[in-house]
Amino acid sequence: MTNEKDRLSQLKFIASMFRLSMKEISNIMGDESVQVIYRLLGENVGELLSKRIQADKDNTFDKKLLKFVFDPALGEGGAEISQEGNVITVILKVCPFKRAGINISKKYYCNYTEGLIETIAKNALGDIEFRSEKLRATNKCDCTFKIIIKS
Amino acid sequence: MSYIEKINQHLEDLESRVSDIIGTAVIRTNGLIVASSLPKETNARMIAAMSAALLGTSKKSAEALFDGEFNSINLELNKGNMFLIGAGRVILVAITKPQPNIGLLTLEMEDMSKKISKIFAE
Repeated sequence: MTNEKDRLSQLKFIASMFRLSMKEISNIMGDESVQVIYRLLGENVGELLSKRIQADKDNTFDKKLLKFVFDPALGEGGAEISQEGNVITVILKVCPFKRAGINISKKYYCNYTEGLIETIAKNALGDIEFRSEKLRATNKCDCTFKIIIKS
Repeated sequence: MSYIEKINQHLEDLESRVSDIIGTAVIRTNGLIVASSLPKETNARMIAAMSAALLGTSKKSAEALFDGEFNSINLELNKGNMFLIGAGRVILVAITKPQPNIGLLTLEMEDMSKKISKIFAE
């Protein structure tokens, strides 16, 4: 029990440090710098996860996205994926950043998520168009992304 | 004519007017490339990312200095210059040979940034 309490305190300390660091980095470097850092971070994580996704031959693309990308970050049921024709819709019902008490209004972390999903989708499906339809950062009830398969 | 075709035509026009330019790009403020004719040996993705970061830092510098607004940057390097100018929702970037004609470059970049800004305002 004490260990759990200690661990929770450590995590709260790290989350608090993260929040304060982001505020200062943004103050000095500007929103664009932070956005591009998160975009590249998302793309790099997307490349890493793409290898695991490609190695899994047992599941369909939507199942693999849930298994390797969304369930570990959001918990089971945190994301829904559906497909109609050549359009895949990804709905994220939970924002892990908001849940950690981080201010999401500047959309820094949306750039991470967009880079992550777009990179994975490109690697798995080839020629695609990626669109952010809704974002919790703009006070919507969920984040909705569309992946349009072109080829 | 699509947005991209219009922008590519403008970039070609800019490069033909300023012979010191060796590559141009239009970049979103989150570092994504809209259109690019950057030289093959350059890492276009990183140049785009650094351009957005330079814009961000410059805007903050402008605010800190006289509460001003960002206009453009001329980054002078030993192997050439990198010139950035805001164009509404995007950034116009030009890479040049060393010691370019800064006067001409600045004039043409200002002119082109207005044209590109209009395309995205349509």
